Amino acid sequence: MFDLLRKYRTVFLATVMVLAALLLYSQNLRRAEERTNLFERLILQIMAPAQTGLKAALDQIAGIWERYLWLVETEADNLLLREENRQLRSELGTLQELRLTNDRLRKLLDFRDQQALTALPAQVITEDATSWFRTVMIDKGSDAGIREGMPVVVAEGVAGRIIRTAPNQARVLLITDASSAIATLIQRNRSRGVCRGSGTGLSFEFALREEDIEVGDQVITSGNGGVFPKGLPIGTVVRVEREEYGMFQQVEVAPSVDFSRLEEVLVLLEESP
Amino acid sequence: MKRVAGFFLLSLLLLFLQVAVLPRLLPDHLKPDLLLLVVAYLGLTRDWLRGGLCSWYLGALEDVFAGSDFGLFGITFLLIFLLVKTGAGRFNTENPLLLLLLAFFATMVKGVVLSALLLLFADAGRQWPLLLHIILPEALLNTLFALLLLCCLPRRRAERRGGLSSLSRGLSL
Repeated sequence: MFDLLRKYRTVFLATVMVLAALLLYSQNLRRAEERTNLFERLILQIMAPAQTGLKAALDQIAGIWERYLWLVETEADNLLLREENRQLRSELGTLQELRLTNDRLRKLLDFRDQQALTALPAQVITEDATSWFRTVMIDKGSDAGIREGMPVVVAEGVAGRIIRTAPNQARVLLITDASSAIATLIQRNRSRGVCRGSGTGLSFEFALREEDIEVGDQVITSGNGGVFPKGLPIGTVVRVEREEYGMFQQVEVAPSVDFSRLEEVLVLLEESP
Repeated sequence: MKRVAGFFLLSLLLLFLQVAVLPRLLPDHLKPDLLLLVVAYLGLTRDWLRGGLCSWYLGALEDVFAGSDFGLFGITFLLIFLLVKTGAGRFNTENPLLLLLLAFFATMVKGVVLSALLLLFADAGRQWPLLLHIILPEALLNTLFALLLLCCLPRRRAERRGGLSSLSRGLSL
């Protein structure tokens, strides 16, 4: 027996490792609650200070570049004469940036007030590690009351939902990810369907052929499914295709959120009474 | 112990570059997989047990920051390592350019393995269009980064000892 094991040691070893890895993966697939394991929490906690620090440092560098270096380059000829002017413009640049941030946050606050929801603001710190999936990391975690499954929104509409939490970080599965599906309806005629991610956009599925859906129709959350509250904007219909045969029509939806510019988000903690 | 700690720190550094630094410099949704390059390299230079465990660990590390199900990249990286290791005896591992070729094909294999796993275990029929859209640019990007890795690692030592075996000092366990 031992001779046999020794002889096929490599094959045995490789098989054991593959089976163990497969077992771990399938076990994680089946887990419905507390999906963030100890290893994930540990790595996230180790990486958190570096990620937050890098974001702050890069913002600083970007600030210096925009407020000083760029101005030096564009007005190099009049540098001495415009010294005072440059200082003022530098301050103006800072104020402009503050104003834009203020506008974004105000929009988020207005949105929160409109929805009458208890929401927690958070900042996006990193993207998904691969080009395959659409997730982002935010700078608030379980210490701030965030739990897996909570919806994440911005002023323009739904952004995604929480899939992993660490004490000071959480990972958000964006609605454009291929594994994301949301119960939705067409705002104009209340046609129901499921919005699935396709990497860059969304598709509105299970819309019957005879349903009246037109380009430009607004798609909102239906409130079914227990994750997203009813009435949150998802996107706009940009293409409708009805084939001669088949039960359903193909409907393409452009998300209302610009995911390439996602900076601040709101995590909906719970609905206000 | 020092080597294990070194490998742990190196893996975190590469992950940090991959997750936080490079996305700011590259176009949207185009990211190199630096950990995959390490897996390909491990397949050429390490034994079955250590290389396999390290590849699994690197996959698990990527799982923390990618996708929605923990373990997917773990098994993918382990399978890629086993594939490279199986063929390693047939390659001339003294040729540093082999890493470039491996970076390209390992990315392709990663796409196929990930799709197969998602198809078998999860509802991922929609992942295919995304795969077709991304796999070639990512494979080329990974090859480019493998080239950068070859250029950045200590050249003098590489010249003295020759080939990939010399690079093993830089990423040694």
